[in-house]
Amino acid sequence: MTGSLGRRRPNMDTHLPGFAQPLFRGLPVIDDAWAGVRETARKQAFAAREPGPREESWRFTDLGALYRGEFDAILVPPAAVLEVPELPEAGHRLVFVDGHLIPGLSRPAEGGGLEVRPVSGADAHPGDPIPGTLVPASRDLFAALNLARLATAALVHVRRGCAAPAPVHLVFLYSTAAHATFPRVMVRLEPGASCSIVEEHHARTGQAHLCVPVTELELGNGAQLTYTRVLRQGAGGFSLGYCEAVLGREAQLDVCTVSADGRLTRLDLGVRFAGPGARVGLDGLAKVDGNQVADTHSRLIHGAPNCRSRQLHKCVAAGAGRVVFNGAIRVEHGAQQTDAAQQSRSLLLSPRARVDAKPQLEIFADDVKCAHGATVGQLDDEQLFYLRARGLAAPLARELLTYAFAAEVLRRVPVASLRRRLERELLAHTPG
Amino acid sequence: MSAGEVLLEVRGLHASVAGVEILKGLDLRLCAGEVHAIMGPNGSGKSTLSKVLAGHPSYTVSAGEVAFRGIDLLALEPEERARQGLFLGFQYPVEIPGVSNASFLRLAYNTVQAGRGGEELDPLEFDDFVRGRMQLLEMDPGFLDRDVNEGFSGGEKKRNEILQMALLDPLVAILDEADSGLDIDALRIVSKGISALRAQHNAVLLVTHYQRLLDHVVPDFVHVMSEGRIIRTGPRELALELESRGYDWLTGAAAA
Repeated sequence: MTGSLGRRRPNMDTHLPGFAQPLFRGLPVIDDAWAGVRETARKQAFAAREPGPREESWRFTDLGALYRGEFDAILVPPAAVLEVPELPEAGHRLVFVDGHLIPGLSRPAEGGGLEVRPVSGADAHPGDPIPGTLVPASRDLFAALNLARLATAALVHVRRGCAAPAPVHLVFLYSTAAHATFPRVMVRLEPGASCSIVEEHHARTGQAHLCVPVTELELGNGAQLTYTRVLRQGAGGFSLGYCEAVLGREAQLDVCTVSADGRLTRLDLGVRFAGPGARVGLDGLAKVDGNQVADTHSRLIHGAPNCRSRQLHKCVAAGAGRVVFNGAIRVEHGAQQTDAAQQSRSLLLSPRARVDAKPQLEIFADDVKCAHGATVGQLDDEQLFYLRARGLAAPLARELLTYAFAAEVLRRVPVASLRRRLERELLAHTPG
Repeated sequence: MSAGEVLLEVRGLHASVAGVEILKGLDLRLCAGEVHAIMGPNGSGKSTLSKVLAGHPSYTVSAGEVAFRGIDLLALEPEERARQGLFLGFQYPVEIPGVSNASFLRLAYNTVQAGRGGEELDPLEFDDFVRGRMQLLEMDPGFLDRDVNEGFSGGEKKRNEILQMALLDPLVAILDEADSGLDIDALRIVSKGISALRAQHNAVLLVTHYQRLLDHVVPDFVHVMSEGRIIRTGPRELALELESRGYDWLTGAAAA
C-alpha cells in the first residue's frame, strides 16, 4: 500500500491529503497566544475529509488538479521587488508577499480610532478579535488549514463612532510557484463605526500556487462597511477563499467582489444578520477563460427581522471556462419583514463555456419578501449588429458588449481609481 | 464627390429572412445631392431593404447586386460598409446598458474616421465636437452621460440616431422610419437635423410609412414599394397623392 502512493511517504496517522503534507514538514512550533488555535486546527485539518464531488457544495468544482499538485510554505519572504497595485485614495495599507508582511511597503495605523496593523499570536492585544471566530477550523479542510498555518493576520479595527477617513488597502501578492499561503483578514467595526476596505489578491507568477484567504467581518450596531475584494490569481493560481460577516442591529454592509482569471477560484461568502434593521448589498463579478473555474457560494442568513439584502452576481465565461454560482438565502423563524432580492446573470461567450447557477431559498418565516432570478445567455445579436453598423469591428463590438455586461458590477466598485483600473484591465482582457 | 455622381446602385435585388423571400427584384439608384423617399404599406419590404443594405446577418441575398461608389457593397462586412460611408438610422435603436453614450459615440466616430484616414479625436476634443452637433438637435448634454439609448424615449432615441449621422457624416444615409413615434416638436427637430446634413456630396434615403416627414424634408424622388419591389417612382407630389388616396390604387394596379 505504501508503494502505491509513489515517491511521497504517506503520513500514516492521518488522512491529510498529499497536496497539503509539505505544509507541516519542519514547521516550527511557536508558543504564543494563538498556539492553541493552531494546534486545534491542525488536528481538525488532519481529521477533515478532502472536499470532493460527492459533497453537494463541491459537486460542480473539481479539485482534482489541486489535489494532484504539491504546495509548500515559504518560510522567509522573497527578496524580489514586486509591483504593488496602487490606490491613490487609500490611507493606510498593509502589503503581504507570499504571506509575509512587507513593512517597507506598508502604512499601518496604531492606536486612535482606527487601527490597521499586522497581528500575530506574539503581539496580539487583549481586545483583538480571535482568529476563527467566524470561519472556524471545523468548517472544512481548507478553513482548518488556514488556521493551522496561521502566522500574521491583517487587522482593521475601528472604534465606536469613528469613521476611517480614507479607504484601507490590504494587498496580498503571490510571487512563488508551488507555494501555499494562508492570509487572514480580521475586521472589527464597533457600534457606529464606518470604514471602506479594499482587499486585493494579485499573483505575480503564472505558475501553480495555492492561496486560502479568509476574511472575518464583525459589524457592531449601526456600523457601516464597504468591503471590496479583487482577485487576480494568474493563470496557475488556486484560490479557495472564505469571507464571513456578521451584522448587528441597523448595520450596513456593501460587498463587491471581482474575480478574473485564476486556474480555480472559489469564494464562500457568508453574511448573517444578527440584529434587526440591517442591510446588505452583495455585488459580484467572476470572469473565466481557457479552462479556468470560478465558483461562488454565497449564504445569506436572515436571523433577525426587518433586514434587507440585495444581491447581484454576474459571470462571464469564455473558452472552456466554467462558472458556478450557488446563492443560498435562509430566512430564519422570526425574521419577519425580511426583504431579500437575488439576481444572477451569466454570459457565455463560447459554446464550450459552462455555467451552473442555482438559487437556494430556505424560508421559515411567513411575512417576508424574497425574489430571485437567474439568467444565462449569449451576446445579443441586435446589439452586436448595431455596433457594427457604426463601424466597430466584430471583435471590438463583442469586447464592448462583454464589458458592458460586466460594467453593471464594476460601476459599483466604490473607489474610483480601482474602478477605472478594473474597467481598463477587464476590457483589455476580453477575448475576441 | 460631386452632385450627380452615382453613390448607390441597386439592381435586381432579391433577399430573404428565415427562408422567406422579402425583396423580389428591387432596383434603385441614388446620386449625390439627392433625397429619396421610399414609401409603402406595412410588409412591403422597406425595413428589409434598409437592413440588407446595412448588412444585417439575418438576411440572405439570393440574387442581384449593390454597388456603393462602384464597390460591391454586398461583399463587405457591416462595419466596413459603415467605414465606407454608409449609415443606417435604425427604426428601433438598440439599448446598450453599460456603455455610455459618450464613449460609444467617440468610438464610432474614431473608428469611422480611421477607416477614411481622417483625424481621430481624444475625449476632450470629441466632447467639444459632439456638443456642437448636439445643439443642432436641441439635445441636452446630459445625453452623453447616459447609457446608449437606455431608458430613452422614442423621440430621444431617434434624435440620438440623427446625432450619430451628424457625427459620422455619411455619403449615403438610410433613415428607417426616422419619424415614427415622434411628437410634433421632435419631428421638427429630427427634420431640421436631416435637412442640415443634406449636401451636394451625399444622398439620403428616407424610409417612411407616412408622408408627414416629407413636409419637412422635401425629397427629390418618391418611390412606392410593394411586395419587395419598387412599383412606382415619381416627384414629391406622389407622396401627397399617396396620403390622400392610400396605396391600394397602386398595389392593385401592380397585381393586375
